[in-house]
Amino acid sequence: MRHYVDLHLKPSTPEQAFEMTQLAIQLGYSHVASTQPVEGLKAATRVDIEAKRGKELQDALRRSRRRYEIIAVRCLSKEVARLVARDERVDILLFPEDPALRRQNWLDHHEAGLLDGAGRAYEINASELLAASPMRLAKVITTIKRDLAVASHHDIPVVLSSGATTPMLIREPRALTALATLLDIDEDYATDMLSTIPEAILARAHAGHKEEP
Amino acid sequence: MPVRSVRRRYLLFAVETKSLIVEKSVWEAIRDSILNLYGSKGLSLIDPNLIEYNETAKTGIIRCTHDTERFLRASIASIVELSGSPTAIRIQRVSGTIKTLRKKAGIEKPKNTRIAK
Repeated sequence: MRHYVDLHLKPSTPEQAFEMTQLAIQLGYSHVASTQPVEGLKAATRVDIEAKRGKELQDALRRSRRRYEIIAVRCLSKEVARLVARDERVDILLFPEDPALRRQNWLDHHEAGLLDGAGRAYEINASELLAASPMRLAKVITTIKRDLAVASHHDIPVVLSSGATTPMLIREPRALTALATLLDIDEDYATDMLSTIPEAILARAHAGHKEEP
Repeated sequence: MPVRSVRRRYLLFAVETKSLIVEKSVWEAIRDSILNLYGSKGLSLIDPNLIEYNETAKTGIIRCTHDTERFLRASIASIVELSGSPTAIRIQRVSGTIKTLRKKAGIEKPKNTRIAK
């Protein structure tokens, strides 16, 4: 049986984190990761680091590595993207949501080559595909598809998450896999992106967390 | 044995929102979302039809062609607002016949027919 995992809930308060985790479980997710602590329910802790310079990234990683199970980095520059691709402390790599910022910053073959076989994943947030004007959506689809082609060429695991900031933005697992049709991803792989791939990341993160003193 | 020329899928959905939503708004939101994501050709392939919508329970049944269920799910998932209120439409059950869907979901057939669109 499939275990669905949503690795990216972005609630603004711990109360909202509880509500969103509860809803995600009702909708069929076995595990979730939240950027806010969840009291009383089992959820992995996640931090989203946004960095433009290497120094900022190194400082943030040093502070975060023992405090969070999942470390995701939103790469705001090529310099950061290259560092992230080499850094074993990072679990997930993501790029800015704004298509204008993505024009100079995307998953290129050089970074993908560094990521190859490292187990670090590229993340797609379904929230980027929701509530967008047709023009913006077209740009987002083009950008993500360009990254996916590179990821597929280098066998980089791809994770599909909700990226939900409110309960209303959480979707059931099959709705998320259906949204992957917009990116021409076949149903089986889309299901893996929401189950086996994030499950493996979570298992590795748990193991790594336990090993550290 | 007679065989239907077009196979369908019937989807039971629930609308999560704080405001009162009428059938026309639900239908227009779903239709516009399909048009936005897949265009007129997609709309013709999906061939959606809102069979019924209960404004009190905020649940409804929508039909599509059987091989376009994923497209309809994606279009429904893309809806984030109805009549100005944040909204999520969640699919609860799917079936190949409306009779089975109603039976599984424990929904009685409504006495009045649906409004013309």
